[in-house]
Amino acid sequence: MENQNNPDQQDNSYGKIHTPPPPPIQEPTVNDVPPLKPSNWLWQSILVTILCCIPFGIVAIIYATKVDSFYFRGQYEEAERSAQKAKMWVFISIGAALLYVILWIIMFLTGNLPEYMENIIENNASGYNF
Amino acid sequence: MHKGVKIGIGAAIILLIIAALYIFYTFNPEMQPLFPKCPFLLATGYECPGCGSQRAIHSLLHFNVGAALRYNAFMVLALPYIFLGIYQEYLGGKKRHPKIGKFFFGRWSAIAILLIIVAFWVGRNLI
Repeated sequence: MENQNNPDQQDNSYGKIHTPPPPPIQEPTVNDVPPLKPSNWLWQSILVTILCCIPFGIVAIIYATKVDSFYFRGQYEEAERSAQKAKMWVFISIGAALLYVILWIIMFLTGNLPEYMENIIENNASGYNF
Repeated sequence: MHKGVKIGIGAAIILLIIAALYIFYTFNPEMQPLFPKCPFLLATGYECPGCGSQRAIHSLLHFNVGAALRYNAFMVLALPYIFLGIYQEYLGGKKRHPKIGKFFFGRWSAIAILLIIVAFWVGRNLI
């Protein structure tokens, strides 16, 4: 931003006294045209909280609530950063759940399931099979 | 992202969802050891906000809403909300009903949902 005009000025104004450009005034431009509100990943984080079973989803929801609060306070950069973190935690949650399911299937196939599952299998065999 | 890649990812996700729904319809998670148990419950002995979702989905697919509510009431009540979110984001709902989006996915609703989830989490372990 600051150095945008410098190269041209230096090339053209050889020998003249170079006055430094005025410092960029950021606040008014930001207030005039606020950036688009980033997606807050709220429903996605709720979905992973429900389905992925690992409380990473809660972290995602906390960041999702921050996105809108920051945005309406005018802290657009923080809002964007919270949106990125909400997104990150949604994907961490999905990844962890996928990993867990794969691990579970491997344990199932190799017969290393935890004890309580064997109880269910036994009950099932003695009771009603379908 | 390239448009073809996006469509491919979407198609793969839809196929996965259909396959998962078929599995959840055919097998009962309460009887089958194939369904993974919640790691949070295994580790701590307390239920997380998502515990019971698999059984609830199975019950819902068999139109047994009462049982689904008993397994995980929050999930059943959150499903319409999630469908609304999908509609808003992918099916053009944002342009057609911007006010609905602002109301349900805005600042206060996000905080309200966080409070509801925490309350549900604590409550289901106390009762």
